[in-house]
Amino acid sequence: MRLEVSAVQYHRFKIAIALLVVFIGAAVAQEPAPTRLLVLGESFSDLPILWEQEEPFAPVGKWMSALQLQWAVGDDGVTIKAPSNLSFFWSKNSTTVAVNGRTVEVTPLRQQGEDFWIPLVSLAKILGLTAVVNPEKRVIKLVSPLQSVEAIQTEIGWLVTITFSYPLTSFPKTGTLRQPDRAYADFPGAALIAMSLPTPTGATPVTGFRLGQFSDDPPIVRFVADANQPLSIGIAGRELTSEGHERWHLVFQPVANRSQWIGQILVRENTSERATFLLLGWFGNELKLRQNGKTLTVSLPAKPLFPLDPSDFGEGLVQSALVETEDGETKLSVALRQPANAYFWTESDLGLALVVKVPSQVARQVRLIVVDAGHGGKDPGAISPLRPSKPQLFEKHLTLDIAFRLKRLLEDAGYKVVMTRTEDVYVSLPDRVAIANNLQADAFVSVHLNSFPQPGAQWGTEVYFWTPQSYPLAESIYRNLLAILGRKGNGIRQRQLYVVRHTAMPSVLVEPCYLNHPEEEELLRDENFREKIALAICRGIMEFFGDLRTLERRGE
Amino acid sequence: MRQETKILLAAFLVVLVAVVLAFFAMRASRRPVQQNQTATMQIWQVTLCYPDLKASRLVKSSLSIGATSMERVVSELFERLKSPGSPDLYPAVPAGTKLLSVRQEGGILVLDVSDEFTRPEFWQGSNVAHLRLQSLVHTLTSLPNVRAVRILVNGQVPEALSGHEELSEPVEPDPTL
Repeated sequence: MRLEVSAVQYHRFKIAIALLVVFIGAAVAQEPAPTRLLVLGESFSDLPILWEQEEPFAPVGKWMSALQLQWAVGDDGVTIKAPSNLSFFWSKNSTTVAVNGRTVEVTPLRQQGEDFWIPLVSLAKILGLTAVVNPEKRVIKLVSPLQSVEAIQTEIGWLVTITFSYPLTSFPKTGTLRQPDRAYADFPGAALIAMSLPTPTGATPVTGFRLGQFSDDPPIVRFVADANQPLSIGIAGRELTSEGHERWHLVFQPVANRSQWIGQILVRENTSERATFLLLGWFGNELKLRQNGKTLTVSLPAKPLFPLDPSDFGEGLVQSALVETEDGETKLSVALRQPANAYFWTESDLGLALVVKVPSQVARQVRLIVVDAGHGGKDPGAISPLRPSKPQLFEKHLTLDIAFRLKRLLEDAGYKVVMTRTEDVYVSLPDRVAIANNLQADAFVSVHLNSFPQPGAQWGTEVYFWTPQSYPLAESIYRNLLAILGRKGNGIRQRQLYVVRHTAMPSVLVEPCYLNHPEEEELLRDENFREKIALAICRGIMEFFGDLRTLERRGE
Repeated sequence: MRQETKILLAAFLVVLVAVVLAFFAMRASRRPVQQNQTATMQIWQVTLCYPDLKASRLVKSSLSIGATSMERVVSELFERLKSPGSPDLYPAVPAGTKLLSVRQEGGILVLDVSDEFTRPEFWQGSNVAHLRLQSLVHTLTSLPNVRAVRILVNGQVPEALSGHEELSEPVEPDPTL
C-alpha cells in the first residue's frame, strides 16, 4: 500500500517538473534578448536600449565616454562636445542639429522623465561614425570608418598615414610576422570601406600594402605591409584634423640597419606629483637623460618627424617643455616646479615613457630589498681589456654604480633598500648572505657583470637562481633586462651559486652583459646604459611583487 | 721382523703426514702476501668532467685508471683537469697549480693546492667559475665514498674564487649539471 502511494506521488512530481520546465521556457522565450552596444569596440550589454521604428535609442550616460564625448543635460536638450572641438546642442523636439555651420537631419531625442535618450543612428551621422544596426541579433555597432591611406618613402623607411573619420580610443596593436615577412597594425573600433591603396615602388623592402576587416566583433581593421625581408613597424604619431578626422602615422623599416627616428612627444599626464611624456620612436641605445635641479634634458639621436605640440601644462609638476634640434640631435628640455626623480620606462613597441615623479612620502607596505654589488676591495671582479686612450673598467666599480642606481629607483618606488656594500671594500660571500638572512629581506639581488675566457667570444644577458621560489623573480628581471637592454638572451639558469643558494628569500644573481665583449664594454662606459640596467632590474622586482601594475594604474 | 715392518710403515706415514701438513702450512702462510699485492693494484672507474666551450654545461666522459692508491688517482685526475686534450673543452684547473696533499675525512676529500689555483683571470665570471669548479668536484665525487670536496690553498681556507665560488665549506656537486 505504501509502495503504491509513492509511485503515484512520483508520477505527479514528474508532471509538475515538466510543467515548470515548459513555463520557464515560455517565459524565457518571451523575454527579448538584451541589446549589446559596441562603441568603437568597447562593449556595453547592460544598457536599457529603446527600439522605435528600427532606430535604437540609448540613455545619455557613460557609454558616451567611449566616444570621448563630453555632455551636459539641460531642460530642453543635450549639449555634446566631441574630441575635435566639434560641439552642438541637440534640442529635444528638433529634427535637425547645427554642427559647426552644417545642418544634419536627425531623429528627435526621446525624453522619459528627466532623462534624454539619444537616437544612435542620428548620433553616428553627426559625428561621422558608421552605425551598424542588427535588430534581429540585437547588436548595435558604432565604428569609425577608414577614410584614406597614403604612403611615402623617406630616408628612414616608409611613412604610412591612415586616416579615420572619427578618433579611435586606443593605439593600434602592432606586430611582425615571418614567412612571408610582413608587419601589421590592428585598429580596434574601425570599419573598412572600399578604397585604393598606394603601391610601393623602387628598391624597397616593402613590396605591397593590404587592408582587411580582421574582426567584426569586436570590429578591428588590419593594415599590412608585405616585405621581402624582416620588417619593423613603429607608431610615429596621431593627429586630429580640423574636420575631426584622425590620422595615424606608421613607420616601416627593415630590421637590418634600422635607422633611429623620433615620432611625436606626447604629454600623457601632468599632476602635481607625477608627469609622463610618451616618446614615440626608435632610439637605439643613444638616449641620454640629464638632471640638474628642476631642469631635465633628454638628448635624442635624430630629428623629430613632427613638431612638439604646444601644451598647456597647467599647474602640474611640469611647468614647460621645449624641443630643440641641433646638428641632427634633438633636445627635450623640461622645466619642473619642484625637484623630482626622472627615469625611462620602455613602452613595448611604441618607444619610451619619460616618468617624472616627486619622491613619495606616503607610507605603504614596505618591502625590504637587499642589493648586492658584486666584488669589491681586493676582489676587482672582471677587468676590461687594455685599450689605448681608454681607462680600464673594473667590475667592482660598475656593480656598485648600478647598485646605487637600483637603490634610488627602488626607494623612489617605495621599497626599503639595504646594500651589502656602499664603498669599495671586500665583503665575503657568507657576510653578504648573512645581511639578507638576518634582515629577513623580501628579495636579494646580486649585481654582476660577466666575463669569458676569450674576450669577445661571449655576450648577452643571463640571470641565475637556485630555489624554485626564486624563479619568478629571475624570470621577471630577465624579461625586463632583455626588453630594455636589447642584448642577446643566454637564458635563466638554475645554478648552485653561493649567494643564491644560501639566501632564504627569493634571490637572483644578474649578469646583464659581458665586460670583456668590445660592444658591451662600450655600452657599460655609458651611464645611461647602466641606468637602464638598474631600471630593468627595478621593473623586474616591481613586477615580481605585483607593484608595477599598481603604480601604472595609479598613473593612468 | 713383521713387527719392525709395521713400525717402519707407521713412521713413514707419520713423516708423510708431517710433510703434507708442512706443505699446506707453507701455502697458507703465503696466501696473505698474495692478497695484499692484489689490493694495491686497483682499477678505478671515474667520470672526467670539463666545461664546454660555450660554458653552458659539463662534458662528461668515463675513464679507467690503474693506481695503487686513491691519492695517486686524484693526482692523475688533477693533472688531466688542467688540459682537456680536446679543443672543444675548457680546462677545469689552472695550469701550474700543484697538488700539495690529498686526504679523506669521511665522505669529504680534502685537497691542499698551491696558490696558482686562485688566479682570478682563470675563473672569470660566475658561470665559467661555477662550471670549472664543478668540473673538478663532479670528477672527484665520482670516486667511491666521496660526496664533497674541500679545497685548501697552502693549508689555508682561501677567499671565494673570483668572488663567486665560496671555499670555506666543502663543495658538493651541483645536481643541475
